[in-house]
Amino acid sequence: MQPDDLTFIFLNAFIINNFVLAFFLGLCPFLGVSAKLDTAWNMGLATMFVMLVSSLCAYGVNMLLVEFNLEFLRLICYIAVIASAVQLVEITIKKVSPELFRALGIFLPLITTNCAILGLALFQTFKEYDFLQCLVYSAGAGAGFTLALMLMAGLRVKLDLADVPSISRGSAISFMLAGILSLTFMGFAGLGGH
Amino acid sequence: MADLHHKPTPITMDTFLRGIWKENPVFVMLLGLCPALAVTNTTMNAIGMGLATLFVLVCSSALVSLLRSVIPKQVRIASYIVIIATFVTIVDYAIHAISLELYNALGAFIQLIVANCVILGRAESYASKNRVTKSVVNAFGIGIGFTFALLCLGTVREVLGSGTILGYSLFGESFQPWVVMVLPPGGFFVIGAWLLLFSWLKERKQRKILKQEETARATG
Amino acid sequence: MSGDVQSQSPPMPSSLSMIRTLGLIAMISGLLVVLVARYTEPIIKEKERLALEQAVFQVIPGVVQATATRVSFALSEDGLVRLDEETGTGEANLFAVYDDSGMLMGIALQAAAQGYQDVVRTLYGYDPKCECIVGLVIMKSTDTPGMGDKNTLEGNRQFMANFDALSVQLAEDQSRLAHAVETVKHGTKTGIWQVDAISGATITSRAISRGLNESAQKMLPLIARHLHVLKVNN
Repeated sequence: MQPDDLTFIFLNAFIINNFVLAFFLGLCPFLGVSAKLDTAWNMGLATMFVMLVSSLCAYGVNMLLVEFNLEFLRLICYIAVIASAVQLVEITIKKVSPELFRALGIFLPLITTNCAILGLALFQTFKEYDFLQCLVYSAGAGAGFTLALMLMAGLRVKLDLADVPSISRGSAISFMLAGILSLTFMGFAGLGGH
Repeated sequence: MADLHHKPTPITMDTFLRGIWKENPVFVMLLGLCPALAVTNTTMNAIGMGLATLFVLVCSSALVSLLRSVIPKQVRIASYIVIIATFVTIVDYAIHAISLELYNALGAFIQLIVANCVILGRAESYASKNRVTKSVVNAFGIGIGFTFALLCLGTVREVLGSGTILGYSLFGESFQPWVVMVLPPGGFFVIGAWLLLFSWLKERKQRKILKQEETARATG
Repeated sequence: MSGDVQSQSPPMPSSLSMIRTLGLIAMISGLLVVLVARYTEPIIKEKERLALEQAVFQVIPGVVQATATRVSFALSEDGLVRLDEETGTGEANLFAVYDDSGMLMGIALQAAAQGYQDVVRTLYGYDPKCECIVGLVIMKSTDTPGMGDKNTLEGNRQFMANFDALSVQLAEDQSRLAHAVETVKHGTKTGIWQVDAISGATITSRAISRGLNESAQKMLPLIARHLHVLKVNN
């Protein structure tokens, strides 16, 4: 499989180098919103959606910046683009589907400070992906984020019933769980290596 | 009365120290975890990342605090983000110019300092309400606390994961490094272990206080 | 009281001041960034040039750094373009190294292939006289630290010895390699075109030779076509 292959790009962002478990991007929502399965699912969906939109916007902005030789403004522009993309998505969802807005609404402002979105925009720039590759990469990253969130939520639901030592209650045990999850995902490395 | 309003509480040692221990951004507030885990596989990276964050934190706090009376409330978040992004871009160029090796090791994570919620949190909750010197002192404390936390993680991971510290071999040839510690799972395990240690210490302290109270009541 | 009333209905009257403040902040930040970017740009360029130069000289044995010169070229099906340091805008994919008398000492080429976790990038030296690969530097490998990462790979002398004289002879018709570069299991190397893998980092070893093979299959026939131009530095 070639490094530039669309299938590989998707798999790479989805499981091999999962944004949460291998790059630690978006850990705040990962720990904050993964207490329940349905909130995790909604958060994942919202993030995936914003990722797609902002990745495409970032692609366009980067093209402009390169055209005018203004690469040193890249970071400032990206963060502005992401913030506006989130706002735009919020307004659009509110207009198009109030039902969906009720489900996702409270998560959208949270996403602005999610480093996974900015990370995605930066990584795709460093890897010099073209338009289609960016699209696939962001879809993979969003799906991977949702997957990690869902898995974690499932584990934590079970954890509520478990009797863990009092000192490890709360975040400590969550980190340990995330570590084991990350260890499991390392098994996917080497996919596409042949 | 009006004077009281203009003269906020003076700068004390606590303004500085609070960020290092009581409000440690990583271990207590669980903020800024992404850089804290992603680049701490060696001590050198941890120091580099910590100092870069410290610089951005102090500079953006100073500027935000300086402009706090000019920035209208509605656009404050946008302004803060632009200010932070500016300093991050500066740090990015500076590190690139200072050491190519460090720049390559940290990669995109230097630019991801922008999304580090510690910095935006400081700007929003402290620098926008306090005088310049005070915000700078506080930001400095938080930055040192962040660097300290990164060092805690980085040293443990490097010693266990590659048997070296700052690149110098510790245990000699026969040491079989615990490779998983420098890989992503190791980051989660090490921070989990530190949190366990801290909450154990806290619980022990509480138990001691309880016991003291009990004995005080028994004797008194 | 009057302050309270104002702060309760701020959006309309302050929209001009909002724009003014944002403009001010944008100006300050723009100024700072431009200053720093301008100041650091030459330093960064110089450092990157040095790093590449070092890598290029490293993969070609017998180079005396003080007297040797490196020239970048862009080579493709359309032809060979020489890129000068100042005017070069194209993407350089071939670096020729000449000794003090202007004779070609070797050519450095880039290769990349998917490894265990991410893409493994290498730079290798090609000697047209013996038609073999004479040196290799790992530019980037983030595979399992301690097994397949850059430092461990380069520290493994037995593995790196594979690339001291790896045959990449062209076939009769000059359009492809006579033998594709291939990886064999540790300790079973028989041909001079084979790479003896590191046991424990087989996928990374395989990625390196696959990258070499891909790059060599594509570039070497092109180099053979333009060798007369490359041979002497003018």
